[in-house]
Amino acid sequence: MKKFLAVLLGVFFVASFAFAQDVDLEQLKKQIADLQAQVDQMSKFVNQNTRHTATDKLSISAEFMTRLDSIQYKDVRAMPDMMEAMMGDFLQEKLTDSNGYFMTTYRTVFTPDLLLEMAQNDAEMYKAFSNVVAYYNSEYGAGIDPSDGLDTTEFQTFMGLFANDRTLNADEAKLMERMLANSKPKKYDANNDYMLTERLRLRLKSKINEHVSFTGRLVMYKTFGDSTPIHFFNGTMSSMFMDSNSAQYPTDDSVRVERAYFVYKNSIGDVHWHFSFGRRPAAYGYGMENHENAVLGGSPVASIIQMNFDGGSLGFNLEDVTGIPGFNIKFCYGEGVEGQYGTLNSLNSQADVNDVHFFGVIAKLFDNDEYKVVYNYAHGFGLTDGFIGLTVMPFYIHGYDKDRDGIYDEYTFEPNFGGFVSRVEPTSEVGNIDLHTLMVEGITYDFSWFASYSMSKTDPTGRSKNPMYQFMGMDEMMDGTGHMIWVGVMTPELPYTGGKLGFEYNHGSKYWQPFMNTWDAQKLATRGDVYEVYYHQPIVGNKFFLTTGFIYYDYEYTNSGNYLGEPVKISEATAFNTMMPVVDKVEQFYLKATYRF
Amino acid sequence: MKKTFVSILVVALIAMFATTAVFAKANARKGKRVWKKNCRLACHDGSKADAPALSPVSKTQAQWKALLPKIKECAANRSAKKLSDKDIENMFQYLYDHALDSDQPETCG
Repeated sequence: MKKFLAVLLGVFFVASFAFAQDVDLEQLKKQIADLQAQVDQMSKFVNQNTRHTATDKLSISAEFMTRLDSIQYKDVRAMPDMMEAMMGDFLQEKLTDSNGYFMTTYRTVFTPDLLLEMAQNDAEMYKAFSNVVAYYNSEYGAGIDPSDGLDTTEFQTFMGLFANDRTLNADEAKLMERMLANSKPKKYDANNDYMLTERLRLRLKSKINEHVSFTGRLVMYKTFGDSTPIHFFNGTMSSMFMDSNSAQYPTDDSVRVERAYFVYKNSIGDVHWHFSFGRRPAAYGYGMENHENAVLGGSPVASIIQMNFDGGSLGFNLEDVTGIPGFNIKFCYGEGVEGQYGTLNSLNSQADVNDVHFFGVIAKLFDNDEYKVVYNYAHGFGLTDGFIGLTVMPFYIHGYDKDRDGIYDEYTFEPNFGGFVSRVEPTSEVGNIDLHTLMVEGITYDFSWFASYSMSKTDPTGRSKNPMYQFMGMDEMMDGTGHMIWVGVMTPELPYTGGKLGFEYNHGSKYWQPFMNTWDAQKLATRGDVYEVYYHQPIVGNKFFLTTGFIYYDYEYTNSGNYLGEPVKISEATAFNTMMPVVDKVEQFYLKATYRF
Repeated sequence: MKKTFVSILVVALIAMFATTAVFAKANARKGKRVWKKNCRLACHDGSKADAPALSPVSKTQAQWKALLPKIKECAANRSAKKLSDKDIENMFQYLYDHALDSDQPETCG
């Protein structure tokens, strides 16, 4: 009986176990099937992701900015109207009529009465003519006596020098220069009330492994309604289309390679080093972060260099060796001009146009994320009289050097009535330059501030062979030391609006000479004072925000941003200094919307 | 013009300074120091088998957000020094601000 019961219990136990196992197995099978389905689905996604990871070797992000500028130019200086009109007739070879007489217009204009009236009412102009005629008389014995005023015949005799053709000999050129130099320029206001621009930046990133990466940036910077990168020359480098400013000033809808470089990183013990070559991230460096409402946008300190160039860098991060937070030294190289490829003088053994090389050191002396101290030194070897580019000149001057002494003996003026585009390139080396800057940045009580002092030192060594520069007295590099201070502060996010308000001021001295070739930083080349206030209003954090700002420029000296020619106080500039218009004061209002994601 | 402009600006800045001091948020700069000393160099520098090498760019902002509970747990149980809530907040702000998909400085190395 006991045996029977034991067997029976055993059967029940096994049966119940088997039944329970059956139930568990069913559930397990179902769970496994569900899991399998999930795994299969995930596998599909993972396969897709793996394929993308393997084939999408480049990540792209975009920044798109639209901007409205309203710019008022005050007290612009330019040649007086009458001289401008006469220059126009001179270029048309219409200063004389078919009989060789001084053009009828002027013959009727320059009556003895008018000359007398000019002496009374337009003393400056009269003095200009009188001084030049007196000079002409004493130098060449022309028999013109301006002491009792110029009569029509005397004036016509003098003006006849310029009336035969568009070629001036050296003496005639000197006379024209003296006439202009004795004349006061006219003053006028000009404005561009409404100018819309848009800028697209495509950021490219690629990484092979922790040691090797590639970075690029493609840029379109377009003026609404413009369709060409080539503009009329207005006397400034920014009006030329050059390697150093392409995609940094608004032009057309071309997408250009602003940056493209590889970086190789490695370490030797605690020394972390990198080597990089390509088209450099050479604009929007230290100092521009507040202005742009962005993280650091480039390598050189923004107070001395913001221009495109191709080159390389070799950097050493010495923080772990020295214990100094952020301590880093970077050696930089860049080429400004390739002189022996594609240039007019590439096979000319006598030409003085070699490559232009820049060398620099960027030393981050301290950076604990709260305070930064950065020193930047740059040296330009054998700078040329300009760079390679394209522009439309209102007129040309070409020269003839009879005795091959490097100084032109004849100048021939060529009007450009057809608006033809010209390749502009250097003709000779004019000197060297040294640049120094010290930038301190900090965040104190959440206020972001910076202060910098910069210095430039030019070293003239040669003379431009460009006839236009020789005629305009801009054929030599200025010789002087320039200084610039630049300070700024920006508030933390303000209560209620979340916006940030910033203020900047910069002052450049007479000989201040940086390399500024961006629309956003042109103020830093100013020989004078600039005040700027701006306000960033976030809409979606810093991914989409509005900026409104106002800049007030007060130029003190001519030729800001140009190392050719001696700067002149704007208040003392003559018609000769203002053959190309010279701006005195500028009021610029702007409104920007920036999408950055 | 200049004097008036500068005076208005100075007054405005002082007023803003006074009002913004009370609106302080987590401090990423302090957070960097907390991270480096207590997490990076202590565990996550790649020298320990059970702790992967980590830096802010190891994760996206969304991933750091998702990992916040784990970060808190790790700080409570594994950190050599007891980290305060403020320390963790600052550290998270640093990791989040410098994550893989954050704006990175555009320099060459």
